[in-house]
Amino acid sequence: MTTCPDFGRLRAWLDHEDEETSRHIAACGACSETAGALREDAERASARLLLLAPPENEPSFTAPDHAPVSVPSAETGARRRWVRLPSLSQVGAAAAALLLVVVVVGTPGGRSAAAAFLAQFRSERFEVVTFDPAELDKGFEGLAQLGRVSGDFEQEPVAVSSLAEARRLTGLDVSALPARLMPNSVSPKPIIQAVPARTLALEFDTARAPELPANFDGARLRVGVPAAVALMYPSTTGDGPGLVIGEAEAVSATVDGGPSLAQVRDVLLSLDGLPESLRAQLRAIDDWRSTLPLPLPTDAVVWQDVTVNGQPAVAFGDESGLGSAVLWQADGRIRGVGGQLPISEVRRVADRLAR
Amino acid sequence: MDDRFEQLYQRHRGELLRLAWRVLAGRSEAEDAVQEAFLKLSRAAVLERGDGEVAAWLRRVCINDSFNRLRSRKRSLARHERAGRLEAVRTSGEDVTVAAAVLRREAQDEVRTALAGLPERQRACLLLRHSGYRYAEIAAALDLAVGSVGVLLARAERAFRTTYEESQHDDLS
Repeated sequence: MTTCPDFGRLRAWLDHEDEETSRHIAACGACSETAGALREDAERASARLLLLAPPENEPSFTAPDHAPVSVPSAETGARRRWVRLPSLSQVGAAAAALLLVVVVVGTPGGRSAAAAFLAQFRSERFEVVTFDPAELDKGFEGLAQLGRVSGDFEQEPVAVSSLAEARRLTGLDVSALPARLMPNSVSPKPIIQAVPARTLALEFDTARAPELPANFDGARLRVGVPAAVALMYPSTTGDGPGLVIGEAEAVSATVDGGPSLAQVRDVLLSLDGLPESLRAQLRAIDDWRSTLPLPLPTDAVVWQDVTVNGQPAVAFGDESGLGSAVLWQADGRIRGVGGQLPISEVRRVADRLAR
Repeated sequence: MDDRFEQLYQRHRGELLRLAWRVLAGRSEAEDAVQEAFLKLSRAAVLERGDGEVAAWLRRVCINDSFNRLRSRKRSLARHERAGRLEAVRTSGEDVTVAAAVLRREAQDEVRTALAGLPERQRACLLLRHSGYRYAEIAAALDLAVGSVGVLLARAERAFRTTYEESQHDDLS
């Protein structure tokens, strides 16, 4: 882009970043200044209009939401999928950022689907894969068809009194949000939650699964579910967390015994009952040794690929302020920011935290 | 046609109610605005068009009707506004302090007043965008090219900020 974009395009860029405009803004002081002013206007308007959000528990609002239409490609070069998000109004998208890894492998609904796919050495990035829960319920028996599953699947985050206590429990040195980054709509004193690291294991058993190659018998797939800390800043304008900052170590997976990690992955991806669309999405992940699949139920989450301070990230939610989150990996850590805020505000906080 | 009208009602009632609520802050009035929009739809030629056009039309009509109701309500209730708010809070049964609830309602009213002072397209654009609608949907509702939404939105946000901040300044002076 050799000429400066008009301010309308700069405003659109705030909502839908595209590489060409990003490059121009990075090199053009005038456009950078204009974009900054536009962002400030947008943030002020967003913060005020958030006050008008209807109550979440109003029964009249449970009628079907408006049907989204496809997003014109001119708006963004990134992948962008839109589906409805019924659960966000109740638990907040913050839950997505809050220890999402724990949710992925720790909830009853998600663990059989998700833990099976954590067949990589160490996670460095995310890849969203979508699945239809109804299809998964039809016949997917999870890992139990291959052997004995062990580990603490039910461990919940616990409230701790200080960041020092969170550090003792998890080894993670998480800092509180600087006052200059604090949105107006949240209280500055966070509730701190922490969960220690643990290991989930699958010991393959050829007696239970005769189709397994002989070298699988007795081998163990161990998935390291990382320690995590979340700082939950209460909302000053409503119930629940206004802003959540989460941090966890990377997810890891290793195999003890005969088969290689690649062989284990092949077996997991050929499990009976795995929906074909999900199988295809997982197979399509090229750098599977460093990519953590995020299995998201179809028709349950709004998400898009974005960047946080140049790092690939996944964003959930929209500008409604009902709930949004962004999740990324950097420096061997999984980081998330979420809350009852417009996605642009959450991304602003994430960008500045990541610097 | 009855089946289609029913489908449109079921599909859009919830989102229209949320939009109207943002302007009117009351369930009964918001429902009235939504019902009025559907009543107009039942007599409108747009009903013969595709679902996307009908949805865009409904959003536009609902927002305009909501702001019209807000304006007439302000005229008729101006003298009793503060007393009415206090009474509403006292009888709401919510476990919050009366003062905090009144302040919140006043803050909401200040936002609505600033919004209502904007040109029709700007306020609709602002309301739609900050309710989570995408540029393509806003363009359809306001009969714009998608590429023009950014310009309208930027102007609306600047105008809103100016109007709102001036009203705050006036209150203090």
